[in-house]
Amino acid sequence: MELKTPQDTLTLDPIAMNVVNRVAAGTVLDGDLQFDGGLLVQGEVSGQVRVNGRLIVWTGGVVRGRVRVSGDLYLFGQLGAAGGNPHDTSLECQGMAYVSKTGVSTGTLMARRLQLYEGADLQGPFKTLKLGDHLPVLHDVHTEPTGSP
Amino acid sequence: MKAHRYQHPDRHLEQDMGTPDMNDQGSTDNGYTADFVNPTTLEVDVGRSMPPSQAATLPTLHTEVQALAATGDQDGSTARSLIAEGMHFVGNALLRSPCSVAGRVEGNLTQADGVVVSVVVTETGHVKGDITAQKISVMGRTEGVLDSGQGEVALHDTASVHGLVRYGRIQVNGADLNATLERVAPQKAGV
Repeated sequence: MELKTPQDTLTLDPIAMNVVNRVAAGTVLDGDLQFDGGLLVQGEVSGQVRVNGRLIVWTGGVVRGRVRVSGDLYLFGQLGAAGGNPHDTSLECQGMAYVSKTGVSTGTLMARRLQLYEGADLQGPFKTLKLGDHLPVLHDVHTEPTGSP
Repeated sequence: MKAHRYQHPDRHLEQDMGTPDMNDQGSTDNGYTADFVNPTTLEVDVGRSMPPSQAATLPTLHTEVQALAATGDQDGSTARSLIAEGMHFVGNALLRSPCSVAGRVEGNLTQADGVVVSVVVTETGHVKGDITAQKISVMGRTEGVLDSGQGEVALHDTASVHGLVRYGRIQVNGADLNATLERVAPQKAGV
């Protein structure tokens, strides 16, 4: 049984992917953060983080805390602290989560689909989000008309 | 890993000026920073993956294979155990040879001591219990522990896996996964 295929390559086009935000290497951001458009993390981001777009955690980049991503996740770096508790970091990704061979996750990862490449280090729980999980919850629908009173 | 850069036809004019900006730190030791300074298309090696379907390369339940299993391979080296589609097996099994599950199993499938076996749960297969084997490949449904020790676990796009997965190497291709993953570190020499 041969399960191996030639090395896959992932094509990333920051312009087409609307990755307009970048946390550079050496930068540490902590707190309640919201990014409209994609985010590239080469430094360190922690806290309550919301990304309205794609999230790319580059090699060397670290993301910790409670994270919600409306697009896809590309994990080349680290999610959660090294040796951290899965409860300390959770990431909910409404799209596909790609974890490359260099990606490390010690947190709780939730995504609609998971593509995990050989060599990726995924520790902790993973949960596939079902369609029902994407139904808007109360705090998400405050801008929607409620219909009849 | 390597990254290739090419000029995107739709890139903005200001990106073609070639003047360094505040983000221009040059290349770092990981080799990625410079590539993201001027946004271009990158091709990144991400590791080995699985094709969406591997029916051609994975063991299939042909009748001749079943006959082979029924008559028994005398040396036992190539025999493959089969839980055929439509069969409902309740109980624990100790495996001394590879095993394919296309039916339903309620119980544990455990690799015998001193042998290395692979377990394949095909698209129609459903295992409610623990699977312990050096190589575990799932295209169907499992509920329980998948324990490959330092071995390999492959979860295909049609797989639905609930429980705990212990692995040395793992590949997941879009599976429906609701599990805790636990990587088993390679044993050091002499331990």
